[in-house]
Amino acid sequence: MEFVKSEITDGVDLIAVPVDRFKTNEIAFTFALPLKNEAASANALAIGLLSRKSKDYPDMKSLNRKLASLYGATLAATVSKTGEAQIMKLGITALDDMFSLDSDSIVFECVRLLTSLIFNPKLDNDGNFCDDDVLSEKRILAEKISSEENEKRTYVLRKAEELMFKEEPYAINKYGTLTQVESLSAADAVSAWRRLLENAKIMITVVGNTDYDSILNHLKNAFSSVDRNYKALPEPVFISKCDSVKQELERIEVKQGKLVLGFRVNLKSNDSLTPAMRSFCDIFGGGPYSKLFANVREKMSLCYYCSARYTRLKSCIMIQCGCNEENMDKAVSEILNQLEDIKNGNFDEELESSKLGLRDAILSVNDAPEIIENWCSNQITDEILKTPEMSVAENDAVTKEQVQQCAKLLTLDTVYKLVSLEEAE
Amino acid sequence: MKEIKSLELNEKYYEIDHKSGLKIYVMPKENYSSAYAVFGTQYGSIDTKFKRSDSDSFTAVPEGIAHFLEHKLFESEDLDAFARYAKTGASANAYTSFDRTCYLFQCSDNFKDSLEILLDFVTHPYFTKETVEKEQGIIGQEITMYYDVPGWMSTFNLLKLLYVNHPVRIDIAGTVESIAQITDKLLYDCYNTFYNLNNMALAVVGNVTPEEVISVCDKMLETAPLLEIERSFEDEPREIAGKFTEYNLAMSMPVFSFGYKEKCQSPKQDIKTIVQTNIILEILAGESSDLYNSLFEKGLINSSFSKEYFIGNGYEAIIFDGESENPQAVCEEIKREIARFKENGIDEEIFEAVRRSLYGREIMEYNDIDSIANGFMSSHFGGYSLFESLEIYKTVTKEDIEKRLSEILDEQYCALSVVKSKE
Repeated sequence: MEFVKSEITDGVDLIAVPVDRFKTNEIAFTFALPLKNEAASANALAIGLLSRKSKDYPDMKSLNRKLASLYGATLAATVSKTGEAQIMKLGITALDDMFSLDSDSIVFECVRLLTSLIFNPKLDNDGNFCDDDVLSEKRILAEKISSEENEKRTYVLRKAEELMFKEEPYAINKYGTLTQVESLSAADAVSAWRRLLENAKIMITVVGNTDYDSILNHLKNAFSSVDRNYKALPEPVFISKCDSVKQELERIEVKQGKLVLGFRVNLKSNDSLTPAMRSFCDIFGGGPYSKLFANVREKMSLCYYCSARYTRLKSCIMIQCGCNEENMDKAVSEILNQLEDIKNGNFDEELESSKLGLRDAILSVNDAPEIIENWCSNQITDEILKTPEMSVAENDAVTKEQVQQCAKLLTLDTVYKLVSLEEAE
Repeated sequence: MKEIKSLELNEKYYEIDHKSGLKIYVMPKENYSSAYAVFGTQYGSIDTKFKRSDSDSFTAVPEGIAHFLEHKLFESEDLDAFARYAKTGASANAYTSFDRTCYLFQCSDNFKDSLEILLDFVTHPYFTKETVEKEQGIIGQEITMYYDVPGWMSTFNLLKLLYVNHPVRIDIAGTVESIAQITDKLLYDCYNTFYNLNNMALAVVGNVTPEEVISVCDKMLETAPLLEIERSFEDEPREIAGKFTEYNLAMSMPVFSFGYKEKCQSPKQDIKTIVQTNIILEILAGESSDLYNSLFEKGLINSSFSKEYFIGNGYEAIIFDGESENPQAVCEEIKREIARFKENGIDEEIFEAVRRSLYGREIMEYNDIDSIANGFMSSHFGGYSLFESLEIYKTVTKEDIEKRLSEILDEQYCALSVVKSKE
């Protein structure tokens, strides 16, 4: 993958990835702001509002008809968190110009559409979002928070994170809370919109086959009216290790139990050892060759699923299992045994498999425009944007000693159990 | 080897009738880093009663056996398939649906080695009494896990309302009780019937050539004996089994599935009918439709709302699903809008806009190697060719659509399934 980075203004970059092998182009605006209790819901509300209407498209139907006329282009607003940054994204997937049945450029129309939505929202005479629109978007946001609870895997992971990172911004839900959503006003939404434009770190990614110069000019022009006041994002709170294990058991009406283990990782996000930590995590609980899959799931049948995930930007590893209550304590001690096994250097075969597996997975990023776009925007808070090829080279260079060293940087912080009411009876 | 081109898409693929009996499709993609291969059989959860051409009688097997077989094939006497893929770097998986079982992998390097593994483990079953018993526990847990997934429960509960006898009404993985009846002997019976290469297809898309694929097939595959399979489904009445059901889980946002049972004109639906029906659904309930926007603005749906033309051997339904605080009100609005369209016909301008939009979406499908490869499975087992649907989007008329609309979405055959927390 090759990319060209152009600065539009302070803290705003265009990342152009020129490729001509796809049928579609991806265009996305990604905004990163510090994850804060008082702002999370308002920020999420703002990106939602921007995705529905604008001055040029004053109702949802006119916007959706415009997208349909652009050969079924799809528009999506998403909210996520990366380390302790809240990430708001508004993006379009659209057909490449070569398939246009008339001479219009689909890509450029989509860029124009996005800037219309982001820079010229539909506001009332007082310069606020309209009350009806705010009310409707608050409903959508509240439903997103509720619907997260429907998926028990997401639910239990969130509960474990709330317990583990209690005093840290990372515990804040990406959408905020139901109470916060309830209290939001039209004025809050406008301030949040201004925050996105004026304070956020912004990455605009365009993946595809198009005229990047005219897009760059269009964007520079759009940002010329914005009074930027950008400050670099704060570093995430770093806790190198913990002294005692936090434990929680929650009983609800589920058929199958879930178990989450949270580990602190004594390694900062920009450390040169992070590629080895990614390998460690993959060997521990990544692919089917991993220690947890092969032993805890397959050999010992303690869990239906059991996998580990490394969050580099928050220096933690979370393990998720589907597990019955009677097996939970056994599963916890077996997971810790597997960690000891890696500390002791018993992972030659797994390392070999992991190197091949990660290499394959990273290279396949190049085969889908939406994955290329995600690859870039996931690095919005990093100083340097790495290509998949750079990551593959780092992966190839990881040594066994480094992985062993990484295993020793983990301490268990939290054990969260979600169990069924029935098992208690 | 036949070469099939689409000038419009700027794509071509090769279709090969391999001497083993296997049908092979290969679509090379220039400048891609990886390849995706899928090896599938036309055998899914609904195939619970069948007759081989060399037998006089029908065999009935327990529910969930196709999915069970999928799990078991990954094992062999020595190294299981995952352990073998671990040496090539490929990421592998498999899935069982109502009418298909597919085994797949994606890789950047060592393609031929990975393809060897795929062809080898799927054509060499190994089951014993002990390994079958162990799997019963694992799959039992998998089945239980889905009982906590609202969307899954909502869909299957709807199918139980729409279908009286057809096995589409049963869970793909079966039940803890039904899989307890599975034995190694039954697994071999099903395997030897449905994993005959004449009933299977292989599709490979990405940085590969047809020659590479054929050379591995030549090496790995033996010619399969000719075999025909007759599938039997109990007579399914036009009527539905029930109108409404509710299931309770600990959750916050209610989930619903609202469906219309359609009349199956023939066991399988032709591609023209599929395209026409998809256009109707987009006009009726797509994101640019009056219905979608009015439901959204009334606060009755959110962006999880979707619609599907749900089809397969002997079943055909139209399903709307999503999250709503008031599923009943959503159904009433959908019914009212269908009646309005049936009465007033379809606006020419809207028809053209939707056709253009779906035409674009169809082209977009040709980006991802996995969606193309699985598209080959659908077209092969569905009895049409891959590029055909794009042609139909170009030639379909408003009159075709109106005629089709008059045949479907009859209020008499609709039902609603809701999953929510206990009140």
